[in-house]
Amino acid sequence: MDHKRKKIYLYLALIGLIPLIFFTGGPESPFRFLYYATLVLLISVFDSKAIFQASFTFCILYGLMPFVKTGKYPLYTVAINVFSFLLMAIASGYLADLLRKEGDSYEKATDIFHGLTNNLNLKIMNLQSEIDSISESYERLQKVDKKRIHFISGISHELRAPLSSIRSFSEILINYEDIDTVTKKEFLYIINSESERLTQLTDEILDAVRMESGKIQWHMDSVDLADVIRTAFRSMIPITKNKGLLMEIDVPGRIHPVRGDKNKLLQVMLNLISNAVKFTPQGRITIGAEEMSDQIKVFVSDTGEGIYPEEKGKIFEDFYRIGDDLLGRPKGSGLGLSIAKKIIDAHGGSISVDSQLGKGSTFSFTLPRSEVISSPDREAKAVMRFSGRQILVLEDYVPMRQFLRVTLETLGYRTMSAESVKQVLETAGIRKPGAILIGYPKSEEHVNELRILSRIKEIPIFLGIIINDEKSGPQLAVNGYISKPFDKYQILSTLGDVYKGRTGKILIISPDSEEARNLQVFIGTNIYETAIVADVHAMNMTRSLPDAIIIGTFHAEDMYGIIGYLRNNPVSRNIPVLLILNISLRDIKCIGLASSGYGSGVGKVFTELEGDIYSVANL
Amino acid sequence: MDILIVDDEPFMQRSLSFVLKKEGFEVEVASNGEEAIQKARKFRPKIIFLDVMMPKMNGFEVCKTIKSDKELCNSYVIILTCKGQEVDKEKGLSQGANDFITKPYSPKEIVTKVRSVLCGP
Repeated sequence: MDHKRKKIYLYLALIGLIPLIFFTGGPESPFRFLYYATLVLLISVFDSKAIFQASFTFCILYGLMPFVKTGKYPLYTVAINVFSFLLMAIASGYLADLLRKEGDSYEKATDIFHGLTNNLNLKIMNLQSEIDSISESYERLQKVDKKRIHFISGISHELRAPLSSIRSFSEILINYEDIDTVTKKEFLYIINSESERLTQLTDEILDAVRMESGKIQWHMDSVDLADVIRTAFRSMIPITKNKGLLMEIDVPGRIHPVRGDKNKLLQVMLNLISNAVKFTPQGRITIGAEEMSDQIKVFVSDTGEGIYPEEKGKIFEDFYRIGDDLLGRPKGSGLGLSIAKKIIDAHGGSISVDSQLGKGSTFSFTLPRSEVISSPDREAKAVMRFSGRQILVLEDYVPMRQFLRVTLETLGYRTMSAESVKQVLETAGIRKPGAILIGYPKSEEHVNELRILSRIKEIPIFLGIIINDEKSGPQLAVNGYISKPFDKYQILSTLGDVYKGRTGKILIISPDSEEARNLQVFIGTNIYETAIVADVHAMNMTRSLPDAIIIGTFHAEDMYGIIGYLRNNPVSRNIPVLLILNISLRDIKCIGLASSGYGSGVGKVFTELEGDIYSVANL
Repeated sequence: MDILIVDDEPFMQRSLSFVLKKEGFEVEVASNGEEAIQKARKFRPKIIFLDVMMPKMNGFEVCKTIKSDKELCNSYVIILTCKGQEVDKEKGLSQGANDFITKPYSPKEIVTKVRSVLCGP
């Protein structure tokens, strides 16, 4: 029953009882107690002083009623009657109040209890998701580990065959002296060719390992794929001729250039062609390219043995070779296709195979067509495009967030953005970014959650204070950072990095005088001369310029304003600037520290991001 | 006939047969399982060296065929395995192999083994 209806019922009962009591003998009425009970209920359920007062008045009137009605009662009886009514009314009021209070505190306790339960549930849920993500990363690590072990046992297996030959033949040459010259030569030739095979193997293994760990150097440039295909064609002619195979080339007159590493793409081509040669006993090999809407497709097709459908997915794995291990396999490291796949993946393309058993296979890869990059920054062009992984930009100051995104996208990265750590956590849960780029961090607490995320999900965190230079576009804003809590050694070494002089004038711009004075103490007064101002406009730049400037903790907007002012002003443009960060830099990479400093283009600096995104993408 | 060498890798065939011939044994070679069984029937070798990894029919299958053949089962079968693949030994033993040699091996080791089998300890 709802509250209102309860109330109405109780009121009706109360009103109904009044005439009942009146006509059934006044003070002696048997309904008197029912009346009190209803009263108690009404007051206890609804905290209403009005009800109490109304019933109080009624009690007095009612107490007098018998006297007025008959006039036969003596005064003291009336007085006792009134008094007893009063007493009952007060007592019932008190009782009702007590009951209500009890109810209130019960309700409060229930509320608190509910709150606690909700809180606990939330914590359990958080814990559960943390456990989930930990076990998820544990599983992934296990997979990586398994892959490593597989890789290492693959290596040792591959190295054994040529080593066996080398060992056997060299021992023969050592132990038997009466071998004729022709046989000796033959054995030496075998040793030589087997050691060549060994060299090639180690090269390939090194390539694969480097690519796996993202440590490979890419020389990205505009590449004409037709040129690559022709070069590969020319260098493979002797081998195909030798085997009696026909090789054809099918390239349209003009194809769009792509962004890529020419030598690496040539390596892929050579690998695909030599595979085709290996698995084609007779017939034809066709290599060529095709222009598609926004990408270029390159293919190598043969009329060879073909591949079993179930093998199609596996052939790009490390050390996988066509045919069962026990039933023999062709020579080669088994790494060729896996390296090819890694190279194409790193170019933002994809590689695949189409094959019919007994009729032949077609290996093809696609690469995105290079678009003209509008940025005037030449370094920007050196940055390659990564498909799939995005950079998550966290900055709560909206114009800066927009600016960071635009800058990154001009450089060819894909971006997502978040304005709070909470949003980062949500976004990262749905779609794992390749890296997180923080603008101006708020507080240690705020960054701590990111550190946890970074560790569990293996997402690198970068910090970059970047501003738009009116003259030369996006630039690293500062020469170095001083992190909190202050550490004398860090402050002095950072200062030493950016400012080469042994003594000098340091200007501290900080709205927080305590922070500024603290810093002053840490810097020490005997080496550097320090001055404190609260705002950049308070510094008098015409009179004497400082040798370095330290910017304290400001709101993001003000901080960017100050740096923008300093950097776009020809007088202060070249003064080294250090920025105090409210956080410690544990687990966070600062892009462009002291050595790169102001004026190093952002394109170059972002290549630091690249290595990490790449290695994350390849885990 | 003394020895049959079964290995699909020509370099391994060449080195093993060279050494054993040099030591005065009669040697035949085979490059796959079928050829191995054919030659075993034809030459009745006293010792058979068997590589595990071969096309078509692997070493274990060849070993099983030889050991279950009444006429051939007296041949001494030595399986050539790779280091780190100890599982192969158990598998080989269950197929009736007599001995193992781990690759990479030294020719001297082979000669010593062959002598001890053919001439007795």
